Amino acid sequence: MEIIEKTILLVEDNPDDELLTLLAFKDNNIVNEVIVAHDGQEALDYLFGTGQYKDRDMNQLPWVILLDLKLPKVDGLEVLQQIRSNLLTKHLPVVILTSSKEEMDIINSYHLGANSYIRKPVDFEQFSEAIKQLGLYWLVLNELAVINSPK
Amino acid sequence: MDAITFWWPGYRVSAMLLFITAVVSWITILAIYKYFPVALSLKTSKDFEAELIERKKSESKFIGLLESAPDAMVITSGDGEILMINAQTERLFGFKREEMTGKKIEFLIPERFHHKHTNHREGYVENPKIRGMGIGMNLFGRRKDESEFPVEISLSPMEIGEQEKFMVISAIRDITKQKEAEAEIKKLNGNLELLVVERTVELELALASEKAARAEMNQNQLRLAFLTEASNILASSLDYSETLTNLVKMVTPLIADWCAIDEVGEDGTIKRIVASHVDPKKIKSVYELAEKYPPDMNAPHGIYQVIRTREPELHLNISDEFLENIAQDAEYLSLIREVGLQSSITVTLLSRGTIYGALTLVMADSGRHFEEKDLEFAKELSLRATLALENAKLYKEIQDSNIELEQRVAKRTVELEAINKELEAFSYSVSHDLRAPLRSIDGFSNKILKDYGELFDDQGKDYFMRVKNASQHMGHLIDDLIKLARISRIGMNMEEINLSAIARLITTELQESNPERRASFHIQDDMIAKGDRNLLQIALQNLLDNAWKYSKNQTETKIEFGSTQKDKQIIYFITDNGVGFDMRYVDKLFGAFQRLHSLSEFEGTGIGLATVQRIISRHQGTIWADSEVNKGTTFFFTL
Repeated sequence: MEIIEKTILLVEDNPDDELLTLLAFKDNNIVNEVIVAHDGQEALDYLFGTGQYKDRDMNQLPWVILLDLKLPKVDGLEVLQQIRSNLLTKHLPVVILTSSKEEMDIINSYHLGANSYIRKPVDFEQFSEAIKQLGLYWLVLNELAVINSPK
Repeated sequence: MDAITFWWPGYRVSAMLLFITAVVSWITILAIYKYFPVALSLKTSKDFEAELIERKKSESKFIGLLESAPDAMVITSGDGEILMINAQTERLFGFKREEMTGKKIEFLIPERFHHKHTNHREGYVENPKIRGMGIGMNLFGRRKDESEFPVEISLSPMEIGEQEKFMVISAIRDITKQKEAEAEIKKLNGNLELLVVERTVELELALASEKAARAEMNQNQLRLAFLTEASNILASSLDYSETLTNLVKMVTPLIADWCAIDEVGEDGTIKRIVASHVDPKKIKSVYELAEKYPPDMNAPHGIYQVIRTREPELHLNISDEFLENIAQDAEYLSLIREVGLQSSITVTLLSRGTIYGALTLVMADSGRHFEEKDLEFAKELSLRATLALENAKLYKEIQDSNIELEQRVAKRTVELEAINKELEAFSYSVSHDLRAPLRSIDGFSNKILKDYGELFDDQGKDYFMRVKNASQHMGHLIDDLIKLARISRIGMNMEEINLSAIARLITTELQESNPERRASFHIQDDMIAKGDRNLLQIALQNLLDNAWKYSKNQTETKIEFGSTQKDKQIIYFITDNGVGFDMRYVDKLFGAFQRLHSLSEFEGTGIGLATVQRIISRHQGTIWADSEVNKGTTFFFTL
């Protein structure tokens, strides 16, 4: 029986936010491997085994994707759209984790198939609490549709 | 003439009567005529005796008849010798019987007729018959006193006795009375005729003057009607050039043979802007004339002079020689002859001190000429035209300014849209980018306190707490600022809103957020207003939050939401029994980031009431407040 590792793909360009997110995982004893992509292109490369990730084991798909919207190169909504339009990734849970509370951003995210939308609070304790809930829900409670990789 | 005709038959009747009388006399004479030979022939003594008696008898009978004739009877021989006369002859001529007998008949005729009369008499002897003498001629008799008198004479030939002696019997009648009457009648007729002529002349004069007056009246009426019609036509269009075209079209051919309007430009020169001609083919030439041969600016007559002096100019009659004199060249002369110029009027188009140009009316070769009185009419026409022109010009100005306004609005809209986009980008950036550093400040302060807390004393820990609080407060400020910006931006969806229901939901939440607080809420039932649900919800949330927040120190919080009516306007109010504020600072109440209480007393960003005010004004309402320190505050608003 193959042990499926429940990895997390964190798409975040701000190093502070990256660190704070990782710290929040740690504070909440979430020890799953976190792969960090620093822009939209990197996230797509990881997911589809292209670019710098062309040699990676494509059997490994993240259990949940934490996606910021405002990203260099390819922005979050574009990344989301590509995830949803690929058979391999179309069922992956995508949680939008962003500073924006713009109504249009929320609407567009859900429209393109986001599973959840969380606004990063300024207060770290609230942020940490949100990460805790997020981890509990998506990594523990939620069941995934397992899709066989093409390989 | 009628009078003459009228009188004439009377005269004729009178003459006829005279004639009949004469004829009757002669019939008498003829009745006894058969006895004449008996009376004049003597045969035997016995016969003679009897004949003599008979003759005496008939002679006395004849003489009696002769004497009793009403006319003067003169019997003459064939050679004109007077043989016999009657008493009437004596009376008529004033001669004694013996003075006349044996004389030639000419004795009784004025001398100047003797020669003619002798000829007539001899002519009569050759062709004797009963007739009037000298019919149609004026005959005169001569009295003994040499005076003359008009007579009428009837002649009758007679042959007496066996010798067949030729004799003429003349019946002479004095027609002085008739002649006098005739003369009188003639005179009367003459007078009458004169009178008739005079009257006729008078009548004709009166008729002519009446006709002229009528013509004048007709013309005036026509012109008045024309002016009325002109006003109507001129008022029917607000288009500048259309108005002018209508005007010149209307004028020809009724008022003038051709017509032109010259406009005064900004540089003072004139330009022919519209023209008409009875002959449409010649309109081009009217323009050409003005274009090729513009009038002399300094001439003491012409359009420039009219515009300069504002006095109309009238040329009653322009001769061809005059045209030849003023013609600059052959082409000019041929042009001006083509369009025709025999009489003209030029008047200004002037209104409220502004000269728009000049109107020139011209008579070409229709034979009509303008007169002095036409000037008034031309002025009237120009006045109406100017008013119409002014209207058209004002309308054009309004239109132009409308277009300009529209363009400005469009430009502003574009600008506004750009600014709105910028604002959106800005608030997006604020909400996203400015919050990230705050998260870092708060987050790492938190980690320092948590992971390295033992390295700091209480003061050090307090400083980190302050950093953390400040960053969180700034986070709230940013959030509220974005909300405020969004409220001005988002579209409104107007519908009927139950404000009471919304307020109840909010107050329930407030009570639940702090269950131990003693509070009473009085919310008037079913306050229905028209507005945007989301915005009004935000406004009520802010107002009720404030009421809740600022009355937290009271032993029992009392909040009321109701409405009153003033001048058909519904005024809503939210009252609390909180700390209130000093009305001196009421001006600052609705300003963004303005606070009347310290953060330590009451938390807040100072954006809430600014947001409420913006929502109310987006609903065309107003908001104001009344407060007293430690007594409570009431906010009033309309929608």
